[in-house]
Amino acid sequence: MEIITIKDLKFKYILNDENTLNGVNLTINEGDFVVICGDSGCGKSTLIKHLKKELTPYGTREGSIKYYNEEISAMDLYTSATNIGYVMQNPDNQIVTDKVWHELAFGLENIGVERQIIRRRVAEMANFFGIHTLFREESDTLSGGQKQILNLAATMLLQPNVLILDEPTSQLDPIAAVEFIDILKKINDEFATTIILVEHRLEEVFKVANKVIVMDQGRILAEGNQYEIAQKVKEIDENSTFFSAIPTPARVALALDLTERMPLTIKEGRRFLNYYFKQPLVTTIDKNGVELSNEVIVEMKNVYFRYVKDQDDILRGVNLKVYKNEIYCLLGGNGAGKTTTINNIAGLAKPYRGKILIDGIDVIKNKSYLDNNYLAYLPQNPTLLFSKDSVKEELESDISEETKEYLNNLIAEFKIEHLLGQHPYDLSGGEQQKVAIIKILLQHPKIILLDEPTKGLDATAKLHLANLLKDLTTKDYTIIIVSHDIEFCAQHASRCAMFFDGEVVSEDKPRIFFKDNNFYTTAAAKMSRSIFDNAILCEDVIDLCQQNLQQVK
Amino acid sequence: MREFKTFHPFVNLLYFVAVIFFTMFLTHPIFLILSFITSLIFLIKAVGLSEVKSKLLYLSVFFIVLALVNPLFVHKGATPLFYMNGNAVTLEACIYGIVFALMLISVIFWFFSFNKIMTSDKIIYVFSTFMPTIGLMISMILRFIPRFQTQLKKIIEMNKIGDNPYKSKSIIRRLGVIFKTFSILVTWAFENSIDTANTMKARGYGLKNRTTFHLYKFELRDIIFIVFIVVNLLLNIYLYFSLNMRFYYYPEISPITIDLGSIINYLSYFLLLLMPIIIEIKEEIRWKLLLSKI
Repeated sequence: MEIITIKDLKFKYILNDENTLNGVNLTINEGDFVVICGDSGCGKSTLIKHLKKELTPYGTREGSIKYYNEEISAMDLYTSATNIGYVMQNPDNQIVTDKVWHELAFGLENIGVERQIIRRRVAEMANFFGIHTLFREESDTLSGGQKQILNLAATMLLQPNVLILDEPTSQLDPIAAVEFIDILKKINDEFATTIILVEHRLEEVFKVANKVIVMDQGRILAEGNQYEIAQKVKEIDENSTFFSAIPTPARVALALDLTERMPLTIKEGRRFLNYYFKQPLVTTIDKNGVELSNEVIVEMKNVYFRYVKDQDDILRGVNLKVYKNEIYCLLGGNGAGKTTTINNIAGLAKPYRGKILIDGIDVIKNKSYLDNNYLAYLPQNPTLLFSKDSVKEELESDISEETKEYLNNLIAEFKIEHLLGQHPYDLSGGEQQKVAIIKILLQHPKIILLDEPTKGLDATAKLHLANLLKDLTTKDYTIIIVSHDIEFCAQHASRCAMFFDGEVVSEDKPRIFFKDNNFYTTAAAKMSRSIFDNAILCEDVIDLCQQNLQQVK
Repeated sequence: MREFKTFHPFVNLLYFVAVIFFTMFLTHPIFLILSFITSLIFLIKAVGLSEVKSKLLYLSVFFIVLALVNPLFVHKGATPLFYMNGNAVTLEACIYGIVFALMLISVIFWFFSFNKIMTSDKIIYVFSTFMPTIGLMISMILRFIPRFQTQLKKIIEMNKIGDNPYKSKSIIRRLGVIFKTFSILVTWAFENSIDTANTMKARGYGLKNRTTFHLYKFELRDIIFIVFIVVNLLLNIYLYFSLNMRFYYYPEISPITIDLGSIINYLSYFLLLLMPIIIEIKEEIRWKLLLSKI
């Protein structure tokens, strides 16, 4: 039975000239697990905000949105709270109270449930989500993943029939994100709750959804199950960045036009390769990666660091070398000490043993060397840099006349003219990052440190970022990235380093680095391991498969 | 004070209100000494000896200053000890100074303990029983403060990179960066609070008949404790007024009476003060016994 029916929905924000939604027609059935995807600005967030009355944006609207037979815009607060649950992107902003138990009870308090019943329901739900051990904790002490699970549990306590989620995993690290999606799957399976999920990390959700919707420019571009969608997206535009968001195994099959047994998971992908390429003739790819300069720009020699005297060391003898004009990626799990390493390089923390040389100069002894804006730092959340009401003001604040010309060049180069009048907080994640990078470049640094730059970015924005970074390396900038994003690093880094237990345990060019890893590696490498030698990117696998097919002919 | 902490918040609150009220208004030296001794034992049991020791130094300085100020500025009293600049420094003023200092120090001790026992969620609970909105508001503020601090720390770190402007020699530059830090923080707080408001609405905030949830149980021992406090209070007040225990320091110090009635009064007051500690010790013994039986 249809739980949500959208008919001819058109919507225009008050300040915009064009429609954000251009006639959307959509039916969602009870118990569906729907994934809505599309590039930033395609209207997917605007669309799902219409499904929750309290969040409906202001503007002019045509068409109808029905929950069963009830028009959503006419829904009262009680019905809306108890029937439609909504989880947003930022885990922190959604936590209202200071204790986990209070947060869980918050919704039930609002709808006036008796204390004894709240107690029972909260107990059940805390157990279901595995957060019963955190019950009496301060909500601030939880990790990002735990916070988002708490938000989900708090929403589910109101027993909604429809659960709407707006990029809930974009601020989480990959492991927490997978855990979160697994819980969604469990909710869908065990409570038959209808789930509508907006996501751009498709690798994981593709496995669990039963309906995928692709949006573009305020319209539904394609709709169907995973297999149909993968096919349709390829037909529409094979070179679109959106196509690159589809899981690697499926992309390989589509590129080779072998879609009879389309694989979605790594397991299926291996089966697929084994079936078609039992004894491949060509198994190695001979691409060498970027030539490195022989000039070392940053060097850490046996660096030890801890925050508090009586605590354990965070860095235990870090040794690393970064060459001039390269993109150096530091990978590793949460709490391994990656960000601490960056802070040490940037002079925000001081090691108690060891040396840090920048351009051959010991910066621990000569702290003044760092003062000349030699280094720039792009934080995980670019909004840390913003204080003005518009992008224009933001960029033009405290700069000299000479830099102004440089700024205008950068604005043209980065193609952000259309954003100048907007408030920095209204931009998408990728746009905010561009503005922040321009702001940083105005200081003429030589080394740029980036902390999790791909967090919350969609495929298109990631590609833009990568091109931009590569472009910077040709202009004498050196880039150091701290990231969880294996695929991004494999594709764009000149060298990758694995950080574990306070030190760099391995460091190499991506092709060698990921080839040798068994678990901490790209989907393509996992899928083609023991079939091909050194394929680490989707393109590598496709390339090798095609070569083999030609050889056979 | 593990055990006392597990009592119902209202019991904790009633105890502290009674004790602090008595300490502040009963200027009788015996009452004050009793309160001072118990407040010290209570605090040591609540926060540990080492923490009390660390506070001891500045509190003793505070005590001495308070005790000295009174005789230097108040010249009332019948027994002059000596004259300073033509003003009499009297015995009564000296003793009242000490008593007053003792009273303030005891109240401070009680408040330290209060802080330790009445945790934020208990205070929120007490508030939300009478004023639910205020209770929720405190809870939201307590949620916000650590977030604010983390964000502030991040912003400061960002600005520190390169030539650290917070340590700049130019005041203008320093003020500039402080203003910038502040405006980044405020913008952030405003923008993010929109999400919080939305999620509150999405979860039905604003409906009538909101209830309040809490984790506290009202048990028999709580009732007994409350009855004990109330009976003790009434008894003390009755004895205090019927025996005319009011104590005067000026012009002459009244004599300390020791008879059956006043001794009962002292003892019952002491019992009220000591009750949480007695419970604590009883529980400790019980644990030891339980363990020894295994």
